[in-house]
Amino acid sequence: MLIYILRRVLYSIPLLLIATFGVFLMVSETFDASAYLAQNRSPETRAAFIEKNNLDEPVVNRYGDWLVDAVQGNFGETYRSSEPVMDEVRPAFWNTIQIVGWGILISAFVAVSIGVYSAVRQYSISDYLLTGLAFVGIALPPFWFGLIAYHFATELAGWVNGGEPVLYGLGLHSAGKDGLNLDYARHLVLPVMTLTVQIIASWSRFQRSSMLDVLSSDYIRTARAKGVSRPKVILKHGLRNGLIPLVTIIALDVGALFGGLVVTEVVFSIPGMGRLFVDALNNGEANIVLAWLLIAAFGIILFNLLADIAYSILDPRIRLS
Amino acid sequence: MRSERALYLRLFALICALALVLAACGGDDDDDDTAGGTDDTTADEDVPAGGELVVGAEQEPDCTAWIKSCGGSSWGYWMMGVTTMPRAFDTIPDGDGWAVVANTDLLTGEPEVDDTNPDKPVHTYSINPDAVWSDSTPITCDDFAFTWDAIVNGEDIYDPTGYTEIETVDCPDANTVVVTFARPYSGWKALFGSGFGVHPKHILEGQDIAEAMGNGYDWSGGPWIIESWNKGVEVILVPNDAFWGTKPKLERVIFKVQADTAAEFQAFQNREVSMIYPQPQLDVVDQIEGGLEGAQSSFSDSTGNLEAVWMNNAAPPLDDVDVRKAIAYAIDRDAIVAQLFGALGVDAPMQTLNPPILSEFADTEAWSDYVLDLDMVDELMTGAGWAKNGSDIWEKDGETASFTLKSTAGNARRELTGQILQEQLANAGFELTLDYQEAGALFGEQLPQGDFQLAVYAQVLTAITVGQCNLMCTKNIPTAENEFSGQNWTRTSVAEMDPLLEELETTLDETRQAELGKQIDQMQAEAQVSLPLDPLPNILIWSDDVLGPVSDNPVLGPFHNLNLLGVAS
Repeated sequence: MLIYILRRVLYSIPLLLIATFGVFLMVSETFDASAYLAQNRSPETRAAFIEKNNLDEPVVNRYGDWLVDAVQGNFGETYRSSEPVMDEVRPAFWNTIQIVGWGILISAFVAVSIGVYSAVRQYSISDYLLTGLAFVGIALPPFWFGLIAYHFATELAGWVNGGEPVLYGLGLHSAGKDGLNLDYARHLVLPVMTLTVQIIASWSRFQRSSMLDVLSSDYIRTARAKGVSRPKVILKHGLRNGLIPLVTIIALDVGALFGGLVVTEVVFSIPGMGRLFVDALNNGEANIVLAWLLIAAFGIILFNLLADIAYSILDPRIRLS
Repeated sequence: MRSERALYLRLFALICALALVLAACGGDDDDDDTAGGTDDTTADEDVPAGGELVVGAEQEPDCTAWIKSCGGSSWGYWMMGVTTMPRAFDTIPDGDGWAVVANTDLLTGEPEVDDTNPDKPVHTYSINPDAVWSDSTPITCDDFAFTWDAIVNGEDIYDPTGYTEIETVDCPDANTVVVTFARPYSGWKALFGSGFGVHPKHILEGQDIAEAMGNGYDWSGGPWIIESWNKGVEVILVPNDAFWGTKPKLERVIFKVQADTAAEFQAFQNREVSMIYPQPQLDVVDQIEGGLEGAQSSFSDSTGNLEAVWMNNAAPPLDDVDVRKAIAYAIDRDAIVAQLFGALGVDAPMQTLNPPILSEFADTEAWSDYVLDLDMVDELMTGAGWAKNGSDIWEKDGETASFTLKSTAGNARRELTGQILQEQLANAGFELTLDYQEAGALFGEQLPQGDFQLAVYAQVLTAITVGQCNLMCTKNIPTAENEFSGQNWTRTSVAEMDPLLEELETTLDETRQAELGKQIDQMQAEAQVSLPLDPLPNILIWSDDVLGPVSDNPVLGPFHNLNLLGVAS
């Protein structure tokens, strides 16, 4: 398995080189980092900015410089504030990890529960209802759902707390607070709900479909015929195999979530990776975009690997080579 | 049977829950006690001490080194610059307009101006001996001299304009600053005032200012001190105990960063923030029209903003003054402004290319003759040799009067403006194509390089400084020769106006400044160099819990007097 992992990592290096160069080229050629200095500033200011950041150098040279530094762990500085790029990326990454982490945990638990329940009670009223809700959930755009949920939270505050907020929609903590506490939980509910509503809806459909396949298998019937109780058959024999396709989906979605968090992060004012990416792109901050890309790519590769490994653990017939 | 009944009960409960959600999402029955006019103060109330005020901030700065290029952020300056940096001048209401006067916290009175040598005026500032930094070190002339030196000789400076006109800053004693200008400079009151303020020499000397101040700083010469700046999240200010003027009443002020306007309003309604200062976008106007419970608001059209249809005077057929005039007569500006801001009580278009805060130095009726008049359009276009073709579009020498209007993408207000202009110009025989661009490309490349015909955007003045030579003088037209470095993007070139613009920059006599400003406005209107639209009103909204004289200031921003505000206990 170690060789398999090493091979996967090595394969990803040329891919990363091509991706980073492509992105560097596109960002540099499309977004002018000095443009914000063009209005109401002296021309000298803009010229000095361009010189300081080597923006007048050919893009290949600039990429080369970046690459040499990057392999040594130095991702450069931001153009505007001359801060180390990682000082911007690190807190954003941590904020996103929190949202994604809670989102994945809650989504997986709820989606698996709904999927299993729907499969076990196939074609029942509850199955139809959950199926309908799943389609509604899939159709809900996060930017709309987020604001509606926020509005609902405000109404809720009016009903139960005299107008004082029950759930918060600004950031992950109240001013000057931190840590895992009730304040944190009250800040998490709305963004995590916004992030997970579509995920739960789609994952529950995968889980239902997968469970239906498994539950109609011969070995399940055999287990039942041998007198194993229905809950044990479903949870021990059915669920373990029924989880395999969902594990792959989850692993792939985690990577995609890094980029798809923009809306949730903007609506709930969470300075995470999605917001960082959009701001960096708009500001022509190629160094931040590249660091973001590397982290996102690393995340995708890592979670693909984890999916493969989890696959082999869940299904011993699968061997990685 | 039992399980089926339970199922239906659960189904019923779910439907009830959904109905509740929909009810919550539906009508808004909030009582509307939002002021529709310009109620801007609750000044006479007894403001209690203590408590904290949470403010929604739409933006934050890249850095807080105000003199550096990264520090040029209005929000950054309003939140942390105005509240912590000592400044020599304040902008205060003066009749219907605004005036720049000495800040009596820092200076003992108005500077003395000695123009015995009219080519090199000498300005003498007298510093209030009580003025101290937060570490109790007195604010002295050395700090003024240090600030000037850092701006003039520093690298990566935001904008040294004006400071480069200073020849020397001398310190006969600690509390006297003698500033000698190399030539008369009409914008001298913007120096050491709004924007950069005065920097502490004893703290910053020998340091890289970008590094020492970039991520916030733990010193202050204003009523507040920065307790923390968590980027992307919040800025926290606490009172500066050493401040010698009116001390803050609040225990702390928290600015919560929220870039999304819709969510910002929601945060206000959820009582997470008590004050917001949104940009005048359409959805903001809609929200205010819809009503905000327990809130007050102030709309001000006396701003430093001016939005206009800027015309590239060098791009055919706009190089023909008659065509420019015909376009001006084809546009119903009253209708546009009423559509955009009528709900806020702002329904009259600007009649000068100076922003409202410079009205004293402008002819505020210069463009008033340019009203919708299709007969005048026909007369001007026909006189210029144009005739309408089969499609009812003006045509001359095989070329139709077709234009492209550029503006910034993603701005619903400007998109609506473009659509109205398109319709109005079509009625007059002009074909208009709309082209929305990313701001960086528009301001960074296309406008400087003259790659446009018409453009809608705002010029924003951050200090009351007269003169538009940078925008209107022929010498400031960007060209390939000067590497497109000038800021006269409209390629305005009116030979008889240039000397007046240059004189205005070097005239210290305010009466003469006003005369020149009015003359220039009239010349611009006569040449119809561009078409002023609206003043982009400022909108300030605060909860009833906020007490004190809440007010907006077009230069210092909405938080200029935070030290006077409090919150209901």
